Amino acid sequence: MTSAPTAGNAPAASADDVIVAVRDVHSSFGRRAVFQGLDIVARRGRVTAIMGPSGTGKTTLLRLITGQLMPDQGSVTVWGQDLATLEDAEIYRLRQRMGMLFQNGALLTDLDVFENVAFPVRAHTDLPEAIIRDLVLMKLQAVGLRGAARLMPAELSGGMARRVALARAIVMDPELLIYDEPFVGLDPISMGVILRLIREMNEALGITSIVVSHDVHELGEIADETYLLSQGKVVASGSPEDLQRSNLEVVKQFMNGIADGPVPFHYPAADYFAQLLADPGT
Amino acid sequence: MSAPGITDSVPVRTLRQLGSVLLFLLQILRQCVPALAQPRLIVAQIYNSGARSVIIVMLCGFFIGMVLGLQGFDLLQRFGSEDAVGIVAALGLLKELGPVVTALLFAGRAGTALTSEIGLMRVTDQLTAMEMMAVDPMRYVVAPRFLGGLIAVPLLVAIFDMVGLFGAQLVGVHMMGVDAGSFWSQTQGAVAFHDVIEGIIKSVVFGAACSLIAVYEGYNVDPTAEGVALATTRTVVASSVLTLLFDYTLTAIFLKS
Amino acid sequence: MRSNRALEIGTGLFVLLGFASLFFLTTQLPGSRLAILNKEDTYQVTAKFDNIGDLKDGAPVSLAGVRIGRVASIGFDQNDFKAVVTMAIDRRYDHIPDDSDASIQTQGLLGGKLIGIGPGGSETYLKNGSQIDFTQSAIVLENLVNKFFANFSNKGSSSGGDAGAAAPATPPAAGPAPADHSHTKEKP
Repeated sequence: MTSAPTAGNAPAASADDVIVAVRDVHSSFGRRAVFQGLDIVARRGRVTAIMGPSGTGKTTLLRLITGQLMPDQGSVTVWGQDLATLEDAEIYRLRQRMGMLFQNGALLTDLDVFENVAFPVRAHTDLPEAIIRDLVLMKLQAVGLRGAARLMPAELSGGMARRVALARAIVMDPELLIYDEPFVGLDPISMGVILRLIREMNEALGITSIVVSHDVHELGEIADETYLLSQGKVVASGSPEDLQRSNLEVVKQFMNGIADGPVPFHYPAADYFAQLLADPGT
Repeated sequence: MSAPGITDSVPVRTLRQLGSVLLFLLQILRQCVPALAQPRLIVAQIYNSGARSVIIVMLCGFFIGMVLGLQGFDLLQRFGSEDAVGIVAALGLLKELGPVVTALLFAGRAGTALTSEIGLMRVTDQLTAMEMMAVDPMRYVVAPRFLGGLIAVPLLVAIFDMVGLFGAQLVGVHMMGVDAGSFWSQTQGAVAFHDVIEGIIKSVVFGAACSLIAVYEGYNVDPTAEGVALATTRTVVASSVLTLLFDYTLTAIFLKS
Repeated sequence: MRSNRALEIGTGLFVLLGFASLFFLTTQLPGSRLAILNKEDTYQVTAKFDNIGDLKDGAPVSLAGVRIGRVASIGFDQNDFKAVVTMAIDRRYDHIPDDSDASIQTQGLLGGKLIGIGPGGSETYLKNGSQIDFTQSAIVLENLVNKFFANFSNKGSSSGGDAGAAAPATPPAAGPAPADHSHTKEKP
């Protein structure tokens, strides 16, 4: 499957605009091949969306980008550095310039909201308490949860937890923000809140965002560049409008939520009538 | 973390496990010194593993001490040496029952708590989130818990021994009528300093083993709900077996020298 | 942080309790054998035995069942092949006749050995450096059993039934043995 032609909206970008480059990556888990030649590029200051049916290895992709996993083949380059060539300490330093929002927030359950957001600051800096306090309150204000600073994670709703996690992800002013399925399980209001925040982060802070999701509609509102994955490869890329207009069956099925198509409805099975008519016990 | 090859045979898998645990220990030890820079974390863990186990340790120590008093008295009475019941209790507690039983209790109460706590952090991506924030979970989560257990166990053993002696004395002196002075002088006469030291060495070794297993299982848990449950079971089983194994080994070493 | 204060107090208490227990166990429990007797409070008396059994340093020395001292050291005389036991006796007991005897007894059946002093009738008393002349060695179980069988085979040929009854001449569970001044007389 080849990529659909990209639309002409995006200005021709130079090489320094590329923050994350995944080139021809092959990766497998056990005997299962997850990626078979993946090519993705995330450019500075833009929201890059990565979509695909369940099980296409979106989590694996994020682990590749953050250096937690190394590809079997191909390269993952972040800020111009090939992750495979870096030592642990250097990868750690790179990660300090990234922020990641996990699907379930992943807040530390024994700390309250304030301490959770303050955690990276305390771990990496020696800033005095007064400054940490101001920093944390400012970030909480940005996500609208300054009043919840003393609640425990267990007392937060899913949407609120995710917002706190977002505040934590931006507290060290990262240059790259990665969102892992940020819309999953949210009610429409919370979803609207997250959408607004993602957009604001991107515009106000000028950072690069990578959003992994399968919410076609939501991504359509915020993404600048979209990649659709299937069978371990990119099957379509471009702006959301490009994908909507695509003629590829795979793309149409995904974008429109069609039950049966290139991704089959039926799990592979023997012939239906043959099985019904056969002796019981087969 | 690479999944174990499906084709590995049992001996190979066991070797891999063993190596994995030892490498894990090395990683922890490397982080122990930096972890000491966060005394609050370690204090919190001493509380979790130690202070919260005190009640059960005292209860069990008391009952075991009393049983030692009863059995010891009954046994010695057949030889006319009842006033030596303190010796039976003291040496039994100091050298064997104190360290072993406390370690088993620790594994059951605190070990499982450690495993499920860390395991849950793994399942909810908290550990991954830390790695993403360029914070080493070994330093912030694992090492403090290991140190907490390591410090707590010898203290728990000492408390166990004390309460046990008290229980034995309760039975021997107040219930069975052994003379209190005789009880203590016999005991003091029979207990040597090296007996106490042996008990302390055992408690440190057991504490290290049980804490290591607990944090290891939690850290490497299969990230599902049942994965955590299985891991806590493994913690108790492995801790128990290892404690008794080390008990035999150390006892043999002590008796040789 | 939640309940920080409670946590710190709890931990402090725990650690305190633990260390207090450790302290007690390491210092108070191990026997200083005879906590009361220091060297200055005792005087030394020696006695020689053919066989001391498993008498150990620190074993009690008692008179009339009362502990009056302890075994300070055990040595060996190469000239007459006897064991030399040095006892440290509490100075308070300074009226022990110098013709008293010392015998090695057993505490219970499983107990360790102790030295029992049987008072004599002399008007002069033991003092520092004295030697007790009348001693009775430890009863060694193997010798006893051999004696029993020796008696048995001796008497068994004549009368089959009563040999068993006559046999154990000296009781194994040693109470204070009757002081027999003619038993072993040692020259100092």
